[in-house]
Amino acid sequence: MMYTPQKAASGVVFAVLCLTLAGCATPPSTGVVLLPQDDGTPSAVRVVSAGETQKLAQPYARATAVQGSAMAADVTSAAAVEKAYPEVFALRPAKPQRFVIYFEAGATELNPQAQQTLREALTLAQSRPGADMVITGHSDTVGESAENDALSLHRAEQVRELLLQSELFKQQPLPAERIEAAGRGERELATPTADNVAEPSNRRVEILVR
Amino acid sequence: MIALCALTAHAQPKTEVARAGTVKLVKGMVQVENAQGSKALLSGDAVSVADVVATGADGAASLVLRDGSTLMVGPNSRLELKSFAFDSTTQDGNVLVNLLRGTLRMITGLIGKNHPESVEIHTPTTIVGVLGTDFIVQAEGEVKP
Repeated sequence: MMYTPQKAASGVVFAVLCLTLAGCATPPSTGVVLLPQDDGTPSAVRVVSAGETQKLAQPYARATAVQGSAMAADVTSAAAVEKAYPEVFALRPAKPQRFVIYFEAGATELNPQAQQTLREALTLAQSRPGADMVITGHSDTVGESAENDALSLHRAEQVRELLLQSELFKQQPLPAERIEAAGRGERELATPTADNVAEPSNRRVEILVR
Repeated sequence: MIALCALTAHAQPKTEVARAGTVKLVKGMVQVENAQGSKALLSGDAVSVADVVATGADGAASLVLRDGSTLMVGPNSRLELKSFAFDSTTQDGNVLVNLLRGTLRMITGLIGKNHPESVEIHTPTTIVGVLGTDFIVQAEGEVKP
């Protein structure tokens, strides 16, 4: 089996402002603002309230739904949103960072280059409050896709285990439950190939620190 | 840690709740409420399905779900993680967040990229969905009288 590689894109960004005052005569209301994506690509959300639907497809487009009234549409600004809701901007976590380790066929130990990469990833994780790591294995297209799912997960688990056993980790440990291993098989090829092609650059483990 | 593992090994059935996300930054008063009660939410804590994150007047918090969905919760807010599932191999899953009160900023993650129709934010008056192909609009909201 072969899959086309996926393009990385940042997620849809929006803010939901929900004002409900319990025990008050004011009807509950909700405001939704679409925020621009980091990479500038278009995005959209749909707001549904009391059977009415509004699509927000431009940055800073806003829908306001007050119970008992028709939904209102307008456009706000970066300055207005950041002034009204500073906390949701101030508390954005640091952007995830990706590291890649390449595997030699049949290898059970990491080469010095891979160990260095692992050290860098761990050092970064230890500098971030509430850090977690996702270690994702990838395979090339040799063999059945189900086998490659298992193989890639096994590689990720191996790297996770090596990380947990490393001296650096023992000096500055991160809770083990915040380090997850995953296997993506041949779904995300670094170098696109036909099926059943041995390609070393596709046999890799990615470490996401966030 | 070892003692804890030894204890849970005898516990039948296993009651450990799956980690849906991890708390990143916390400011001021932030609590998590669930079936076990209520406690202060700290950076690095796990967040699981059915947890309610409650922030005080000076409180705010950010959390990242396993698929990379990032939630930033403002002051005077109550946010319930109503449903979350994520298969890290296929990247299929769903996210349903219930914002009962306050402010939420969300940056969608892998589920939003691969299955935008499976990401929803509910408030007492609205349903916010991420647009993609085959978006399913739900007619019933959670409007309170």
